[in-house]
Amino acid sequence: MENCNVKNSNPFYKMLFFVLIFALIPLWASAQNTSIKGVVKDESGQPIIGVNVQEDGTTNGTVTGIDGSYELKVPVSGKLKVSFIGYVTQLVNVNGKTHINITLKEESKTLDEVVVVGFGVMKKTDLTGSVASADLKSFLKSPNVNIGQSLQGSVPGLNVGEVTSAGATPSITIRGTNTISGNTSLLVVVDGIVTSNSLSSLNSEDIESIEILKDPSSKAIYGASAANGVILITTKRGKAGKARVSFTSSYSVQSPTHNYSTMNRSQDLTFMKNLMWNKAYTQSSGYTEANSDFNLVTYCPDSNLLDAAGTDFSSTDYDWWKKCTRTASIFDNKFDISGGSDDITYLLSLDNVNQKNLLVNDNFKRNNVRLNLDAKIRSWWKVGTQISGSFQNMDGAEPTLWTLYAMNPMVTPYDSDGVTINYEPMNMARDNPLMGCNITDQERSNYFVGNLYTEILLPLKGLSYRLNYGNEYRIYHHFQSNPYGNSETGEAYKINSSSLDYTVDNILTYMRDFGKHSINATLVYGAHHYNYEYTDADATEFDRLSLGYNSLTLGTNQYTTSSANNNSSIYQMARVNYKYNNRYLLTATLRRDGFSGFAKNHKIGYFPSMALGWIISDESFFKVPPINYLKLRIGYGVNGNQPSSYASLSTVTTTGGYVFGDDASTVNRQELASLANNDLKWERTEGINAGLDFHLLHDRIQGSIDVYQTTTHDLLYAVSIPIMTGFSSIESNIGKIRNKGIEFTITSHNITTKDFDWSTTFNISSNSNKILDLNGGDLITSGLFIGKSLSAVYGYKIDGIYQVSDYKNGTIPSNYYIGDYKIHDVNGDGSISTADRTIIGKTDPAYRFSIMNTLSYKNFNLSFFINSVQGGKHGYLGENTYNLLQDNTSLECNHLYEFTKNIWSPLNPKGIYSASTASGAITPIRYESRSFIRLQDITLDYNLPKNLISKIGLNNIDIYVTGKNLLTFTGWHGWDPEANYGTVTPIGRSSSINKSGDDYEGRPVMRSFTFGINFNF
Amino acid sequence: MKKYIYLFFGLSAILFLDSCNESSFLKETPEDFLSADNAYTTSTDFDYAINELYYLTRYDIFCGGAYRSMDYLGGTDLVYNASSGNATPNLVSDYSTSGDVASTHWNLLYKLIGQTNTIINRLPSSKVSSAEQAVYMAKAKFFRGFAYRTLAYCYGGVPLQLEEVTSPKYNYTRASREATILQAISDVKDAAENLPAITDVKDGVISSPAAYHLLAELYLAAIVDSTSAIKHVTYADSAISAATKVIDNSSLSLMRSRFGSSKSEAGDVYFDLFRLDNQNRTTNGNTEGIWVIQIQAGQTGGGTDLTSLWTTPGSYMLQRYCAPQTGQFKMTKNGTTYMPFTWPIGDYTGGRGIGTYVPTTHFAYDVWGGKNSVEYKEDIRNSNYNFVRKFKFNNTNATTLAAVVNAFGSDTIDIDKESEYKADGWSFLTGSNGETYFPCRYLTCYQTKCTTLYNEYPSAVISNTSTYLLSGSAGGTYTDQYMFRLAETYLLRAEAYLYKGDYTDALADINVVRNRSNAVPATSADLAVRSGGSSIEGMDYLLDERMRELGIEEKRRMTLGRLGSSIFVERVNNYNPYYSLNASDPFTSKYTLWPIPLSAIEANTGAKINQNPGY
Repeated sequence: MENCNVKNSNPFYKMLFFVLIFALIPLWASAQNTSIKGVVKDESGQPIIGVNVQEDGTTNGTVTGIDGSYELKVPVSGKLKVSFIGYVTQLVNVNGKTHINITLKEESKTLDEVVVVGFGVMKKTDLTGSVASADLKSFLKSPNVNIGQSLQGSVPGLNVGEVTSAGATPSITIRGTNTISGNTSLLVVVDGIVTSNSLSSLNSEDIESIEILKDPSSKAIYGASAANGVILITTKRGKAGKARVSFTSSYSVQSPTHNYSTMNRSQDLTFMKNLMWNKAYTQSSGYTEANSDFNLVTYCPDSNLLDAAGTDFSSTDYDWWKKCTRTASIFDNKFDISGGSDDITYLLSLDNVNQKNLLVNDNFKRNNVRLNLDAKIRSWWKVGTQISGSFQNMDGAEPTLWTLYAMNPMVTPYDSDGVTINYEPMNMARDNPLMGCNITDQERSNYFVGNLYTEILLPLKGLSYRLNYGNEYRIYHHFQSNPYGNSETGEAYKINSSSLDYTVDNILTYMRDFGKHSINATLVYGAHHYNYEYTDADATEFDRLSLGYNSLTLGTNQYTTSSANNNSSIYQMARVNYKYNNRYLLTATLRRDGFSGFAKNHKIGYFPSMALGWIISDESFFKVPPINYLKLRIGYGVNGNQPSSYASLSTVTTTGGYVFGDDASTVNRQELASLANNDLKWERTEGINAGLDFHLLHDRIQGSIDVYQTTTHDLLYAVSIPIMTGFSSIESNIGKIRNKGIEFTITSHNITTKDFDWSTTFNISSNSNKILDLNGGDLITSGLFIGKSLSAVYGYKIDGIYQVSDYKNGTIPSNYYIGDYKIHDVNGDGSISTADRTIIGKTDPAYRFSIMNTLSYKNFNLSFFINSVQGGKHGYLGENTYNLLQDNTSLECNHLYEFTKNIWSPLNPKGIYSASTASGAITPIRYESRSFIRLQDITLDYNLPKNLISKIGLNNIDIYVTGKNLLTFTGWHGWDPEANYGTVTPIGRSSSINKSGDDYEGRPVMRSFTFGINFNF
Repeated sequence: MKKYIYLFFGLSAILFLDSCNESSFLKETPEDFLSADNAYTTSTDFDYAINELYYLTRYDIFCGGAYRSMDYLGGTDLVYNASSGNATPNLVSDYSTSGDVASTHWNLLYKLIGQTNTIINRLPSSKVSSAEQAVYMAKAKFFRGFAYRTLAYCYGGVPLQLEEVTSPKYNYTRASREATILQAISDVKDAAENLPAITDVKDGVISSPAAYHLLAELYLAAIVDSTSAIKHVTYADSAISAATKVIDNSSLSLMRSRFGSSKSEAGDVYFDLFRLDNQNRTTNGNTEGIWVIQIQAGQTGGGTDLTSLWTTPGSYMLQRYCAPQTGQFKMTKNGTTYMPFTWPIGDYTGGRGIGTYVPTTHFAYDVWGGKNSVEYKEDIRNSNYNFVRKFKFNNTNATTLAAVVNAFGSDTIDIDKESEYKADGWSFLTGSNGETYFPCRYLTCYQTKCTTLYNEYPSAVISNTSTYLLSGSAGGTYTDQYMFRLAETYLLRAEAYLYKGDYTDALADINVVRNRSNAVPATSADLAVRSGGSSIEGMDYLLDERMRELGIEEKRRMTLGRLGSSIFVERVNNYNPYYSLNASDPFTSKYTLWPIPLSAIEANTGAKINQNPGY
């Protein structure tokens, strides 16, 4: 580290900088050449072989020999650039010397690590904002088909959900919710290009690094689309040298984390009997002793459940669940070749994944290919490309999940002939779930990415220009022919959609040191365009469906629909990083954004930011021996959030609507579907972040802590308006939300010896939000309350269930019945009404934490990762509700057996789900905490001894086993608490939505065991 | 050196190339929809906008998903809910302020009003000729009046919005019911005077007579709210004059002889009125339909969904809820149980009904004079073609069928002979709670107007064309539906005569309707019988006559709601025992109106909308 004195800085350098910027005059100087000799050694004095010694800024160079020596002809006034992998690159002024010995310093990985910050890279030490690098290495061996899953729990402040279907992308959010109904998806940037592609199109092996921009100042460079956070993904590049070939193969077997299944016949009969508790048991016993007069058959809701005589239940005991599920698996093979010369480097990769999830036909197959190429075609001119394709196959339709859950064990999928699928096994208007999967279905997503860049060193020293030109093309098609469709008359369709994005970024960078002053300035001018189209051709009533969807003409009725949309954005950005004396850091940015989706009067937005950093440990007055590095960061910035396209326009939808006459054709109808709002403004999130980075005990312990507070103004929201206007809502800017939180991460190298290493990383983060303002007060209809969390749950408090004893004591209010939910009389007026609604908690968690432990002993590595989301007292609530009546639907439909154990009955007074003779005047929604602690990943790997494998010409063989989701501790009832809406699914109907997740799909999370092997040579 | 400079300037040029076109680059042009500014210009635009009004009306009353179309039948004196298992009637939960009944219809009706206001406001500035504008205006006003009429009958007085809303508004207050109805009258009167003749419009399109029919009904509704005796007479006279315009229209007449698609089959003219394709004027010459709601199975915009029962909007599910679920019916004698019906079969057993609504005793028996009366046998509206009580066994398994026919001694069961069968040693299972009597869910008398028969079903829902076995997604009523029918116009005019105490003319109109159906003519003695709760002489008889003539075709809730809470409460409590089962929550005047949906009250932050009493 340099040890300069602040007072010695020359104020004229600043002026010079500006002069240079505008002069555009290259400071080219020709001079005499001189021959220089020397030796390159490391800090311990050992000579290093193969070090690059180059005349800076030219191709003139050499490498050191076996004794570390070199010889090179350079101009007298030139500079030597000495570089070697793993060491800090040094620049040495020749100054007429003829003999220069050089000592290379080993790169301190933690301090001199370079991170991607958007439109450029920075040394980690130079950061002023909160930028986190994901630990990809630790999760590389987990069976994560989607790269998003590898981020689950590993970065403080990054919230990644659980996935439950093959190939799915988890929900990802950063630092809480900044918007009520605006766009919540974060911005993903791959190799500098903003992508609209799914994360599922990436091969985890291709990824060099993932950086997450979390705070407003570092996100500000992405201005209008940055409010929800930015993920920067950088793919690997080839490295000069001998080609490196790597092959990895892994196989995972998976089963649900909960061993649930639907009821069998005897369980179902008991369930039905208990549901009829007021008939099946005697009143005198408080409905706990069997009533000898009770005959369940009398109440059988459907003759299909009966035997041939119709006098007793059928003896059929069919296991629908087993029929529609299987042992899940993932088979993944990855192949990589990389290498190159000094001028051209390449990386070629192939990834083949074949995932079969639990439900029959929940398949995901993917082939990813990539070519990354970089060429230095002149000393001042570089070009390169990243070309990749992802070819995804999701063929096969799944059984219809909601009817699968409902199928009674006493009916079978087949008619009496044993072959034909019975359209409706139960007379309940619930289709046979197998009709969902015994059909021809082709579903493919193909992604093509072709990015080009060129980088030119301009004739002003330190000034370079880069042009990024990115193209993405997606094609999706879904073809299906379904003989059971349209009431078994047959239905077939072809859905085709495609979208095309292009991005052009002009980036001008000026990077130069002037003594103690370092300047790194960036100017960006760019544009992005997105175009989407969709066509659906559908036909029904086929006499013959053998040609399926490829001959839709054969359908009696044919329908087509099509749609399209596009949007454009255009932006300019300026950023200056200024560093003084390697100790005082400043970053200032300004971005101007235009987006087509905004209202006429507000197309353009400005997003500034400013951040400061101070490396305190470098100050001479700082003498705290255990602390070897300490940096303070503080930043302010403004970010925007883009709405969906067309949000501000009034829309008139036109579709086929009516038929006048018996043999007439369809006439169209047009509906004014929404109100226009020409003043719809950008949603703006501004905020500050303060952070402290520290290294203790000679880097043995490293950590950082960040606190932040952001305020979002002009919230975009479809405000409920009285339907008497003819509309139920209008997109408006309505108020303010504040998010604040704290994030802490620490890594400790507990034990470091020759053979044994143990390190631990602990992350914890907490975010809370509060609505500060809503123009005109609480929006009860929308569940928004000033001073409360955005995720507040407004409803009725449930004090358990009315018991038989309550009835005897006369404490059940009128219009409520035994077995109904007992609603808390919040306002104490003695009756239950809508006035008893209150805020009962929130769906956001209180905090999240994770612990990663890595142990290595000789060639063995063991790592295990514990992840947890905690709700605290009233947080992280999810709907976990059901109320059954003694109606035919409740009686006939099957349920998960484990669910039925929690249904209330006089024999099960502690049951949590209501089951009554009549629903109460108000049927409340029951909530439960989703808090959990999970042993999420555990990996053991073994590197075969080098001396053994080198004999067969390999560099490395690595064998590993991993376990995922092995243990979960939670009080949640039902499938996994973290999965989007994981309650049990009583009759399989999807429940209402929950603010914390997507629609409830009732799918289990998988536990897996993986065996893998990696070769490279 | 030079090349660098050129390069730099070249690049600078690229850098700023786009900037000239920024505003055009950012201009937002929707690709697959229009916006309000360019979608209300030509007559095609307005045709499309008017079609929307038909669509929304059909959505609200007929196709609003599984239960919502039944909301206009349930909770009245017509039918009761026999399917909720052991549950007690639960209006307090069904008619919850945050429930679907309250919000679905309210939201759809105000959406309808919003669309009409847009048309009315944008017509003057459009490119449509002024002559055409008058007709579009009349059409829009008809539907706006129609929407306020439904709101007034079902919710009472409601906020009036008569202009297109272009920015949010939060300060609605309720108008009185009288003001709401007067607004509807004003709109519908304009419509009646400007709409074309019925002979000049396509099938299903509203015409001047449709508006006069509605106008007559609205004047009757206005009488209920008005305390002034003079106004009563004025309104009654206006109602008579509006109804007379319809009745005297030479293009309209009751159908008195067999016609249409099923005329060669056994049956009668009343049966013909409800067969497939028999409702429209042009297809089979029906002159009785005034406004026919169009349902075309399997066609986009046809108002059905043949693939699923659960779509919203979907099929009109009258059959599903009103026809019996015969497949569950069991009959036992000497320890042997028979299931004589295969279900669902598209014959007279009711298709894919599930028997949710069973006719009240009043509807099934009393209004026809009881099982043994002449009336019961002679009135064709109660013939087995129209009100099925005799069910022919149809088990597709020949052995099972033969066994039951042999044991029973007949291939047909008549639910009116329950006591004879029981005396003979038979016992029955007729409902999901172990019920053993008729009519009940598994074998209830039902009106065939809720169903289509045999090959009248859309081919898409027939599984087997020889046995008429239906598919699982059947259950809709797949033929056009009368919104207004001339027989009802006679009954409306009769009602107006009752208000004036003119029993002679009232009886004359009632008997026009009765004569067509071979019913014994009504007499003044009949009018004098006060069986229900009306203070108007003859009103009870008239409401019974509406039941006989219209039955489940009538949106009974609207009729009783129109007549006000006292008649409504009395009739439900007298004739529908279902609602007296729940002693803690009897049917009181509270339930004659639906609650104003909580969402509408809570979104209206600038003023208070009073909730209906009791909610």
